[in-house]
Amino acid sequence: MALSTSHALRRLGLGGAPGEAATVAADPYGWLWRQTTHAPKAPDPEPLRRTMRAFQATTRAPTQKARQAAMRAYFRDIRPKLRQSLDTSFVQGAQSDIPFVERMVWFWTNHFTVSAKGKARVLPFIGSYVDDAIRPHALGKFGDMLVAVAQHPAMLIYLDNTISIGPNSRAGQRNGRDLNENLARELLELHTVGVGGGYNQKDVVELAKLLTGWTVPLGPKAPQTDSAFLFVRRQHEPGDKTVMGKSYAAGRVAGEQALQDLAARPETAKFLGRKLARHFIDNDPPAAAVHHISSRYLESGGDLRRTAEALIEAASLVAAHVRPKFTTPMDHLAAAVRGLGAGIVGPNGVQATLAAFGQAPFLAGSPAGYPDATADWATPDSLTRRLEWAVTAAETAVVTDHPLAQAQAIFGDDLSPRTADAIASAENPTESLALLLAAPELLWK
Amino acid sequence: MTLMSSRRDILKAGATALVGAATPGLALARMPGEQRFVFILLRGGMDGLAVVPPLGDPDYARQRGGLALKAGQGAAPLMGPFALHPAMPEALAMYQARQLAVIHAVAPPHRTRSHFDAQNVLEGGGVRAFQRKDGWLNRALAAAGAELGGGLAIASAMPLAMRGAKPVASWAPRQAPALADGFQERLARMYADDPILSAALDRGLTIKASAEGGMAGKMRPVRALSLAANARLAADFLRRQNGPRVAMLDGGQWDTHVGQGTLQGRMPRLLTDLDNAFAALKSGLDAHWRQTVVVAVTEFGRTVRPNGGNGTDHGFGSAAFVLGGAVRGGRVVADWPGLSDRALFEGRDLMATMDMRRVLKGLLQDHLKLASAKLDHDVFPDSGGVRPLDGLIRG
Repeated sequence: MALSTSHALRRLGLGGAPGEAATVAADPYGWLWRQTTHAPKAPDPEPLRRTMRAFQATTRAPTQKARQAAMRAYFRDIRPKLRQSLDTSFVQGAQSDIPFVERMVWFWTNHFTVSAKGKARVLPFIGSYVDDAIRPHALGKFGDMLVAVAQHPAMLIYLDNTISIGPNSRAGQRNGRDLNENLARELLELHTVGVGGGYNQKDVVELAKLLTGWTVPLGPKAPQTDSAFLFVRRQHEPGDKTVMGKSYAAGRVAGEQALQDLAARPETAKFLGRKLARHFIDNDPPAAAVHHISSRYLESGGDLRRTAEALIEAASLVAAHVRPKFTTPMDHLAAAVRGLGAGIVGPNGVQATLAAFGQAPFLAGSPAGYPDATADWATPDSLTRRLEWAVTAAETAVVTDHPLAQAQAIFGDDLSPRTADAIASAENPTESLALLLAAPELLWK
Repeated sequence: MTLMSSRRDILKAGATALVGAATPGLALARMPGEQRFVFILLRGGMDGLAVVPPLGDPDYARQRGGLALKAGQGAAPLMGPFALHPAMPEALAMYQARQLAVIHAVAPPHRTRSHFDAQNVLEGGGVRAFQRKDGWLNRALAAAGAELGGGLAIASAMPLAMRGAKPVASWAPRQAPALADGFQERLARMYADDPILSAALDRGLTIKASAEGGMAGKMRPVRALSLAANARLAADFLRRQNGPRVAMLDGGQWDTHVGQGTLQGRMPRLLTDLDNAFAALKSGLDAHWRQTVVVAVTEFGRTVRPNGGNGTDHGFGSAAFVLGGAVRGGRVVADWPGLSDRALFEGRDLMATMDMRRVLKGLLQDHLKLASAKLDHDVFPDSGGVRPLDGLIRG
């Protein structure tokens, strides 16, 4: 049995744009595969530099009071701009020409979760995080993505590496400061080999030592620099370290090597393979699918383009065993935008709408990010919120075409008679559109 | 959980939150006249036979069966065979004061049982669905020019009738989104094959109802019926010297397929809301009521005989109300076709004997003084053969 149009479009892609279902139906495999040949644009370093300069300026004020005032003013200024730009990024992403690649960017962004929840200082760096650390590597090497993420100010601030000081470093000895294990732990537990991936507490500590000195140039004493990443040797723990059986000398490059080594481990291949299969194929993926993806990852040295190919192949391989998956709020909203345009989001904007659904972007409660399984999202409360949104969005959208025609254009042959009937028999155009937004075809992927 | 702040908050803040193009009534070269015009579209297909039952029609009781009103149940006699449902005392008072007229057996010029198509025809002013991308009321505003002043729609998105070249404002009533009865029913049907969605829907709605039923101060009431509240709002705007002269209101939930009710239940609740809306306009417009015309129409009526769910399905002819201080009321205007089996449209619906455009043209011509050439060509394209209904306006 071949890969179904619906699986390709909705679970590997982001839903159907009008008329897209027909295109994909002709060759779902080819449609996906062609997207993996996309050549990513080189990232633009300027936005991060600008953010860095502006943020640095607030931290340089001479007194504590002045710094606090400057910080407040800065956040007052950027919050609405940030909300706007994240909303725009979401809409653009949802309408991407290469939705499979875009979905992978979203997947990796959740895999490498950063959150501003309770940590406002992460906020200014979020835009750059996706554009500079994740997106350029989505079809590149996982190891490179890992290093880029671990050296990005968003992650360094989020997981407290800026305050992790080698106890035997000059700074450590002077101030009695110590390690913070947060980043190291999550790198092992969530990002690479995974829980049960064969590491122990000692490995966590050793990795943390390796990463000391990896920080952000902020604060009154920080050097004037355009770079967003700073390696501060006086904070770096001297001496050799051993992580999962491999030895490393002191220094920044050793830390980068350690991350590349973690990326290349079979445990990482297995962990990532399982996660990819769960997200893109099935909540409980057949072992054959996981194995297919993991082995390709491993033999290609963590090449994500090759891994993406394996993912498509695996999806085809086990097509007969694939069961419906309930959409996450992001899936649902993205599919609505892709099918009906940016105007469908409603009066509250993307951020607030997704927050009301329980999936506030970049505000996850833990570094594990947002879950993926049907059981997590197909709950009564979750559904009620989606329905309330459907009503609100339908009331404020301008209905330019019969929602039934729109449903046919978006879902193609997947449009069920029941859904078509409900939409057609609605009392007025608004209710018709609300039913489309609440349709099982949009709630399941 | 809240997606929008309540209307009360917005009004408290003094914000008028006008969404859409121009603020009505300002920056006009000439002061507008004092005529007000309110267009109410009752979406869903209002059952004209329930609102203005022809009790004196020999076939009424037999055809309507369980939905028939009987003598002594409080329906007030109007004229001829017609009576008014007891849930509309304000309308009755206006009728008796000759400020309200009923038009019966009327429908837009397109026989369709699709809400969407029928509303589109009614609002577009054409004869086929999706013939027009703008609405007759917008074109009327354009034809009237500065004398008429601006238009206002009380709606979240601009309804088709008010869309077009002339800038019109809209004010979105803000309240917590209601999951109205009709919507819930259709959702349940749409999810019927899906055990997970069905269960989640059922449970979710139960929780929502109990959470909001028990609300004291924290959560907003979820009211599916709010035409009266919107009417009050419209009146607020319309009575201002610098405000709009023309308003459109949207009513919903008239699609009574199941459990329509006669003296109790959904239909009487809807009629109470409509009655309150009429009263709200009258009291809100105050001194301006003398020069006001309100017209309330629906896209089609409903089947004469009840269906298996004690409700009715989509029909054809229905009733309309024309009311206001400027109206020559106290009568029922109808070319009554009767309810015999032969007289019914397709053996099931009240036949429509009047094109709704006749009513609208009559009001625009006599109340707003629009020229017949403009009515025949611009406002209702190619309607030269559709004669305006005379005599609806006093003087």
